[in-house]
Amino acid sequence: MDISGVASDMSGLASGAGGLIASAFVVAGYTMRTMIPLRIVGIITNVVFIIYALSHRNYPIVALHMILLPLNVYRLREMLVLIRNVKRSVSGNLSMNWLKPFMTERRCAPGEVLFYKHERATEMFYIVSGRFRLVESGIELPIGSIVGEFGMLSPDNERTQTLECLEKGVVLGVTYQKVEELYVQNPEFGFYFLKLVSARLFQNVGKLEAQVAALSGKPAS
Amino acid sequence: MKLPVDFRLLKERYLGEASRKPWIAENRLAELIPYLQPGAAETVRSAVTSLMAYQDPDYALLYLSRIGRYAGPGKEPCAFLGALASRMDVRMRYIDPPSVAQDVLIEDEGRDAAAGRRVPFCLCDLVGLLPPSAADTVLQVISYLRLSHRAVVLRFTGGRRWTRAWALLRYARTYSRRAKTENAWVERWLHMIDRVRTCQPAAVEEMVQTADIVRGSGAGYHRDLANWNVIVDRLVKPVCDGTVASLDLAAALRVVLKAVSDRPEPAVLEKQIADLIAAQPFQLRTA
Repeated sequence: MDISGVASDMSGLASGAGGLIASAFVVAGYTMRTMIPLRIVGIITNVVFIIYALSHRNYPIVALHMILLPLNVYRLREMLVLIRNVKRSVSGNLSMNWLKPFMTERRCAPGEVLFYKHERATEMFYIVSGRFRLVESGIELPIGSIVGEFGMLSPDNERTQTLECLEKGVVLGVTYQKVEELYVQNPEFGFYFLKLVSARLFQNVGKLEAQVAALSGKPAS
Repeated sequence: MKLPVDFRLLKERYLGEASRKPWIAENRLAELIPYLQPGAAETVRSAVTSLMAYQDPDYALLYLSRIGRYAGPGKEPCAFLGALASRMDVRMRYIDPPSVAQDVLIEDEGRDAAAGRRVPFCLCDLVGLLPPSAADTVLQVISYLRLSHRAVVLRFTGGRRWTRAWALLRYARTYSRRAKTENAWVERWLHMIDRVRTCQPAAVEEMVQTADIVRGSGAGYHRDLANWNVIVDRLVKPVCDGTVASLDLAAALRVVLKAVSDRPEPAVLEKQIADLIAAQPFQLRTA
């Protein structure tokens, strides 16, 4: 009995099914609303396409997905690391250092003003080096501090102080738009980001209460 | 022209949520008017109209939000608001090629199209029409080649295509390097007014008047701007920071404003200010 025809039919069927499965993953990828599931489906799609294209010796498709696979893995890892760092910040020192990879460097000269009071707030800064002072309150900000994070969540979106550079230094800046993007693409990040900013706000309220108590001579509640 | 909703969303995403609706600015103006003195109210009203013509209703809204820092519910009426409102209007309508082209097109409507206007600019002003990301690199290069202040005289003639093209550039003005620089300038001026109001309230009117120093276009404009910065950095700021003790800022500013009317070199003005401070009974406090 000649089974070569049947074998050929079966291989054609398997090939068609492989193509269908790969296409289904592409469609599934497009339906994803948030970044992490999108990347995971993207990685699976890349793997399926590589296997499918190898079996058909379609090397341009193999090359394309060999490029896309590490890109998807890198972006997925970036998001997972971001969430882990935000979570750690919430339960740790409330720092916002995790934002550094998303920030751009800006060099400041003495006398340069980064933003003015009442100006519309559009970005936050991380102080890397130099000396910076909030003009109205006279507070000098230490290296490593984040300034302008509340402006993003404040209803009027206005600066409440003026930030001036006293000594040549470097700041890292990130626009609120970028943080909003991270927030929208990644609900888990958004949740922990809100927790973190609230915790920082409560920390400030606590400090103010302690100052008021110290001024009035009563212990803080 | 109304864009389909998807394009409008994309425009909002990448170019900002500009409303471009005059009634929003007019409503905001109506809210503010009861809190303004009659003279100031008239100035603000005409400024809103001119700023809408100069740029768009959102630019007028920015003006009104700045005025709103000094007037509104629960705020003390400011005596200097009229003077500030008119000067801020002038400063926010700075001279650039699109604004001159607009003026020429309006003036020449129905008149002889051959009549034109020649306006001097610096090369850096023209580069400043680009978005900051592009302009900053070009400015670095021309500054290295010492061409920043190279004079470029543009001729604007009514009815010419070039004039119309320049006038169209006003739609891109908001995203330009020049707009960002001018915005920072106005914010600095308002910031210094606030600081003077706190440390020497008697000098506020003079501080408001310092905006008159900066006028025109081209090399003269850049010299004026440099002089204004010298006044702020060498006189006003040290007084507000407390590094110059017991200086009558109002009197000092009157002297400086008189001196600056001749458009001196910034270095000369700096020396005049240093002499003025040295002549005071109390010298510089050790920092």
